[in-house]
Amino acid sequence: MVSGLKLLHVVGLLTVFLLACLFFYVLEDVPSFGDPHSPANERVLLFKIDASPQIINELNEGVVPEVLKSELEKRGFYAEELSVMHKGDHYDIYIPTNESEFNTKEPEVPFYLVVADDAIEIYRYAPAVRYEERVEEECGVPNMVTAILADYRGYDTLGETTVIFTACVAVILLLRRYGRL
Amino acid sequence: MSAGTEEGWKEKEGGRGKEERDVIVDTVARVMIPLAQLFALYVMIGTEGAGGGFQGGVIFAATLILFGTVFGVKRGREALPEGINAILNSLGLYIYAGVGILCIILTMGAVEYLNYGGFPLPTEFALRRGYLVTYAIEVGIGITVATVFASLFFDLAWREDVIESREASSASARREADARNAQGGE
Repeated sequence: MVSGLKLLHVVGLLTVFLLACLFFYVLEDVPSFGDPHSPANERVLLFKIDASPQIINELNEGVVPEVLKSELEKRGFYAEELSVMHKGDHYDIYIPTNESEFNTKEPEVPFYLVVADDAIEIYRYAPAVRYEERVEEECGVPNMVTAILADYRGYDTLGETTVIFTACVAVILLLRRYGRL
Repeated sequence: MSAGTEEGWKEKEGGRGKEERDVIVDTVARVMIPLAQLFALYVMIGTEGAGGGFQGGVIFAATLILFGTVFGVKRGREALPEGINAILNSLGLYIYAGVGILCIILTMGAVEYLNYGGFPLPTEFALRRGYLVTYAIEVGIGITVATVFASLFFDLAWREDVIESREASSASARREADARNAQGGE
């Protein structure tokens, strides 16, 4: 019985066990939704501009500086109705949502994030952060994946379902040999 | 013992008789199929755990395919006839797209397509979205995916003698119908 075992088999089995051990060793360090401090999960740097006292004053007063608006507009971002709020070490810039008619909760979500240090850095909140924070409040579904697939990305999922349906129709037309349709 | 004999095959038309099936396969399939279908519904509708319409639909289709493999394609087709399969295929997609259109119609055009929040249910904005996503959209996706995969399996799993006998019978039926039409025409 043992003579049937070849060296290759033993090496393969040991590799499987080693990989399993490595997996369980690494498993503790893997966060549930990827690295929470990665730029994609936290914020995305849009651009930097030079700091001047006037800009910082305007930000502190709750006014969006014209320089910032024009820079945003130049890069194709939304810059029409914005409001600023001072949040500790950074400023949040809000956009009023279009669905405020039906949304009874606070009608604004933070969209840009401004850090004013030596230079002024403008970030955009990553969508993943927004989904994680507000998915239950906005969609009423505790499962984030379901809410994103069926609600935020509803058109996408409708298209996917259509693709599967179309594939099935093609298979029926090509392969069905008897019966109706 | 009729296992493997010519008459045994012809009699069953692609399916296996009860005495031919292994007792383990038979029992496991009988026990597991209802449980797996229940689990498929949980994956499809339950919002607490992982999953969604696609995954739940595929699990449901897997139970249908298991039924087809164990009890024979013919019995599988009797449990899920082709006509009903074709109707259910498109029904899921209709539910999904129809909810989107109903959102526009029932709010007289105040919201856009697929904005479930405008749907006039007597709850909050967020909960309306949640209910529709869970009980309409996911179920629609699930129905479509389950029947599509079952249809793929059952359309690929055919045996030539079964097809030939069916084609012969349908051809003779067509000939009779043609003859009847010709008589009626005269």
